[in-house]
Amino acid sequence: MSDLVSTRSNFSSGPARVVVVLMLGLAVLGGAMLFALSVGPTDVDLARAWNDGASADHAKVFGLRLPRSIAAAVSGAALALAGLVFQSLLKNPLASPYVLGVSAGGAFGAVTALSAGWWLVRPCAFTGAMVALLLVMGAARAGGGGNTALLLAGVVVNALFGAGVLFVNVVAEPRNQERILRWMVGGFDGQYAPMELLLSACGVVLVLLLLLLRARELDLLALGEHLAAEAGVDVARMRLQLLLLATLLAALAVVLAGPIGFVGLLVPHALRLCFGAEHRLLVPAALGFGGAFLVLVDACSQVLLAVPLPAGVLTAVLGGPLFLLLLARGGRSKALLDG
Amino acid sequence: MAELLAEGLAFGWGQQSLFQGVALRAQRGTITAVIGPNGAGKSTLLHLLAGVQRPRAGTVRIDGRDPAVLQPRERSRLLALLPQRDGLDGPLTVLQLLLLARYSRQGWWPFASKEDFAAAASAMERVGIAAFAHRTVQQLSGGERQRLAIARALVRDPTVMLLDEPASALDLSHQLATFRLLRSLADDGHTLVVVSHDLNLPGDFADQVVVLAQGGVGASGTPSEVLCARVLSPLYGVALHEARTSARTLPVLMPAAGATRAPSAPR
Repeated sequence: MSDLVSTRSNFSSGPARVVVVLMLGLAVLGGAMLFALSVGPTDVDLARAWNDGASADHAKVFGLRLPRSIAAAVSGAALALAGLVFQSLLKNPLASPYVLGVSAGGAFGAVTALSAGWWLVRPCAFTGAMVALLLVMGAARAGGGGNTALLLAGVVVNALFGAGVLFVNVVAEPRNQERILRWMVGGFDGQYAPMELLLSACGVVLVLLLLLLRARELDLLALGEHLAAEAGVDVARMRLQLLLLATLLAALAVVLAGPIGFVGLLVPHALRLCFGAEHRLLVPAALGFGGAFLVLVDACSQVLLAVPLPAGVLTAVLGGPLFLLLLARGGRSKALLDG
Repeated sequence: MAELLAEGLAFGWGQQSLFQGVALRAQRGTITAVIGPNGAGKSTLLHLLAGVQRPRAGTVRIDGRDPAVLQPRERSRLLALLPQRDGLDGPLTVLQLLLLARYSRQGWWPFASKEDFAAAASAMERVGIAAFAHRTVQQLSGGERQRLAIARALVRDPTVMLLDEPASALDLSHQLATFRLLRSLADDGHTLVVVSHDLNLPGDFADQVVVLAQGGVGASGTPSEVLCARVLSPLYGVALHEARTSARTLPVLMPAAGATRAPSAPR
């Protein structure tokens, strides 16, 4: 017994291990961002961009690629964290951050703004996402709460806002329809205000800290609501709190990048294979690795073909095969365990 | 003072009544066995005692407090409810699960303390699963899983433990081991209420027996008063045979084959 107590750091994740995972993720994210700054449709010299503030390279790197990379990093981290929370709360490996209608609501807001020619596309997307969440919560409450009611309410709200998006797209002027299509695919441009990025990044970090403090509750809820309640978790209150936090993250990502698919589904699965099931490790890992994944995908989408692609196209193309690969790996590990 | 006191409990759905007027008094450091035919409401009674379901009528008090109105953490420290199947699964190890089960004893800091590790180690040793600390649930046998369920309750040191057929899926030696463990927990001061389908094991380990049958408490008392063919045959609607052995003071109860008859007072 004393051995177990004295060497406890070997058996469960203490603060030191959390810091190591966080730093590892941030180091990978840093590397991914450096790569993203150095590649693009045109070649740039990073040293010149750093040293010569008046050069064209400086303008490209700091005016275009850096804001774009930061937006990709923030969105990737937000989607990975949100996907992690949704999958654990709903005990459903197919739950994505968009399962509760956030992307459809955000898309409806953005598409409405685009078709009307407003410049407030992102605030409208955020408002749409929040309205969708309120509708889902209201409908789920009317349906008796619980995961099934939530999921069904999410399906209905997704369908409603999806229909709204199609309607707006049909009646939009042709010159706006292309902008709408590009937004719907999901991706990044360089047009981000520094304050916008700063606020989004602060939002993600704040939610990360809150989720880290709720790591035990996430572990327990992932085991099942009855087991969590038996252990002393106030299940209804905690589920609402965590769903709101995750949806806020998903809304932030939708606002910055549009409804990019597969990141919130794929990254949490990969992290579980690498870091196990404890959320005190998964949450900090999602920050760096989720961010790095989307930064790399966005950078590659710029150089893979002669024409730069929206990142959403590449996540969709990569997502399917990668997900199948992860499923096969997960299946093999489970078979070994069961055997 | 009684540790666990239930009075006048009634439960049902719509017009249908499951039971009414159920009373139960369990002192600290005792085992109360609840037996009865299928559908009598034994599991429901445990849920009412745990405060996770509300009775139609009646009260439940543990140390004078109603468990149904307690905050979840407070209730978790006061009592543990072990269902027949806890549905525990996933990649977490035994030790990780035990540390999580300490949740109601922990503060806001999301990392396990020295005390948490000590409590987990002590619970594992107590139920005999210390060697499996790093195994996942899928790597445990049925008996080991049952012990893990008891350890998960024990690690938070509840006053009252409510167990729903803890030995039902176990072989004879594990049944005996489980009831010996429960007896030792009661001797340490825990109050245990155990639902059992076995009519003989409670005789060796319980301090009192409550028979839930025919819409209420059919009989209650010490094992020697209740666990006999004369009392149980009409309540179960089965002719029971008593066999005497030198190994135990109480008779061994077994159904007399081919002698089934209807309950004397149908619900």
